[in-house]
Amino acid sequence: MREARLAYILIAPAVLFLTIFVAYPFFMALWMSLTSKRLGMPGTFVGLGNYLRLLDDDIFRQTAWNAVLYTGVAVGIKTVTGLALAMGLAKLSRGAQLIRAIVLLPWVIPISLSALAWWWMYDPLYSVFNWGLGLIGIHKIPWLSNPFWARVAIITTNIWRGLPFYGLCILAGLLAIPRELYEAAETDGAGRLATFWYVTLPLLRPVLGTVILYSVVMTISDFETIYLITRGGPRNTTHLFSTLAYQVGLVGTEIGLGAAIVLFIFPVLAVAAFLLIRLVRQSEQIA
Amino acid sequence: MKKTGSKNYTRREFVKAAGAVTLSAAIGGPMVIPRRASAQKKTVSVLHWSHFVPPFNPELQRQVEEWGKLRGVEARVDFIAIRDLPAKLAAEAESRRGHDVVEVRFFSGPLYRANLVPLGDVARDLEKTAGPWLDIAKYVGFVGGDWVSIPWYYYNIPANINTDHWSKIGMSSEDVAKLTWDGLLEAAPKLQANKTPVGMAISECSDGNDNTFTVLWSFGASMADAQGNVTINSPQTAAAVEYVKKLAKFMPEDIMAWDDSSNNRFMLSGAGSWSPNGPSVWAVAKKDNMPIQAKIDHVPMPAGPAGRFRNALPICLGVWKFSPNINLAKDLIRYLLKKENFEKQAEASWGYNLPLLVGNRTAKVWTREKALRYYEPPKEPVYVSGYPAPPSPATQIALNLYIIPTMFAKAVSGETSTAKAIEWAEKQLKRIYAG
Repeated sequence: MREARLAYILIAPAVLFLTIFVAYPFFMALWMSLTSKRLGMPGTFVGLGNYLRLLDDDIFRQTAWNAVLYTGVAVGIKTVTGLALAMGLAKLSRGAQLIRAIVLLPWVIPISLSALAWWWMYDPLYSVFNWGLGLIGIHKIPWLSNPFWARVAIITTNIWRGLPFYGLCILAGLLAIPRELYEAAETDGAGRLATFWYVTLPLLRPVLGTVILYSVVMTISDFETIYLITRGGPRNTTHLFSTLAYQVGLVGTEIGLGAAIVLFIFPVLAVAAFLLIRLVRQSEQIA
Repeated sequence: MKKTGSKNYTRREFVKAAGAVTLSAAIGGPMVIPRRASAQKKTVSVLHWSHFVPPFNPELQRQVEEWGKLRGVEARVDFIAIRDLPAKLAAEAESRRGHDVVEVRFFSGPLYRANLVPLGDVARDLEKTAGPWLDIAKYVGFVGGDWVSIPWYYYNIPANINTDHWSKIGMSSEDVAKLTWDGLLEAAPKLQANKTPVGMAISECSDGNDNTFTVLWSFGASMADAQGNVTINSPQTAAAVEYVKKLAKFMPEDIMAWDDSSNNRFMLSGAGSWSPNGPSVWAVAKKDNMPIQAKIDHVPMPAGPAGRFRNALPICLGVWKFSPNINLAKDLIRYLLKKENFEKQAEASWGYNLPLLVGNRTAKVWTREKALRYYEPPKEPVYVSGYPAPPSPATQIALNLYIIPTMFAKAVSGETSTAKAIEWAEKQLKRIYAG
């Protein structure tokens, strides 16, 4: 009984923090999304009017597609390359600690600094990439003025930044797999591919599920990368929900509409979280 | 446990005691620790963008502090990057906390009209001493029967040219000053062949708005009329878009990714021959003693079928209703717009800041610097992006969402046809103006 009381006391600050800084803003945003509120002025209740207006808006539909594409491609590539990176790091013996620390650098550098550096590398006038391409006789790439290349640019930046996180989390999962299972598989004559498919991957599923879920949430809600590199352009082809909400809600002062934009992703993320957590739980039972 | 003079605490007891002490300090601390008696001066604060021309910021700071000393108050200026200004204003309006005097540009005054103190008394006083107001001042400042902000200064957007590049194709500054858009289209391929192209942003940035509206006006087109009826879908708009499609072939490929600083770098690098911009290119070259300074000149933008126009960006000052220093804020605004103070600001900005009161046109910088001879005063009509649409929240939102430059970019890039691009813009604008 005393322990239970102490437990409640100890988690009270965290609950208070979450209530004030997470729950309250969330419900406030939910309320605002149902009104015509503009910044500095009250609004009137419009029900689902903002959401219906967004569904009819091709900039919003473009943004939704951008978000699916950005998240799907970036998370997919990060998963595959993160797994490869982890497997490579697991095989290291000499200098493993140092190399793992270096690999973590992109994750550690503040996103605002790294995004600015990438922006300079893609800069229309002074791109170092285009300079390099010019040296080998390749015509310069319109990194930020062409929708395809602008998407490549921001996805590359996102992958560069997120890969260390994937690599090190999966590495932790890899190192936790008992050595005996690999020895048993080897004894049974399993090759590398079979070992990976039947031993490594199933036992990595809980870690992979968690990492992918986290990455989906962080990627779909990315703001800094887009804001600093493309600002949602060219022609709204790299806008994500967060940057569009910023433009509409803060710059345009239509905060009710801005809130509706970001809340659109909430049910999608809730479903994604539910499915991934189920997958993780099933994998844990199998393990 | 050893028997000693002091009790041995368990971990649980220690945590409980620590928690109790922390909680008591948090609740009772402020009551126990005596507050310093409040003998602080009032502080009046101003929010202003960090000016392109470096000497302006310290001059403004100096004038504001000087005023503060005269009034026996603390006074300060907070400078902010221009890109962050809209979000900062939004945060202050919503939280009802922030600066006393804020810079509002374009139609941010009408956008935040409900939160700003009417300043008709200040405007009338200033008109008596240094008037009259320019038309663009009244256009952005006088809304709904009263002054929602005080127009302070503006800068306009001439064409920046590199005289060396133009002389190589046999044209002087005066020749370029008389150009029509068709004339520019004739010269552009020659400049591109010399690897010194013309360029202007057709992208989602402030420059994108400035450039495309200037083209629209010169073809007789407009975004909306004075009553807020959307007029973008017109043969004149189609002609403007078709023209820019032709001109864009002779510009760098990445103009649709340019931000507000790209054309500055384009011209300062020596790569560019022509680009619309305020005199910040020349100012930076002068500040850094760059050789290119001698080659940069400013000339009027080309003329179209409907005439020649100059785009203007007015900067106004507003006072939040929640300011505890409203009368002091008004007094500060009057002080900043006094003739002698405005003249010093204009000099400190190297002629960049232009007066919105005719009586404040006293600075010698515009006649002293040859590169500014076409900058001030402009002979052609001067309009603000959005004109002739009403100075309203809808117009500011249309500018914030870069509808017009995006329309041009859609057609120029080939993403859609000219007609479809215009239809897209019309749909967006009708939604915005319908509220």
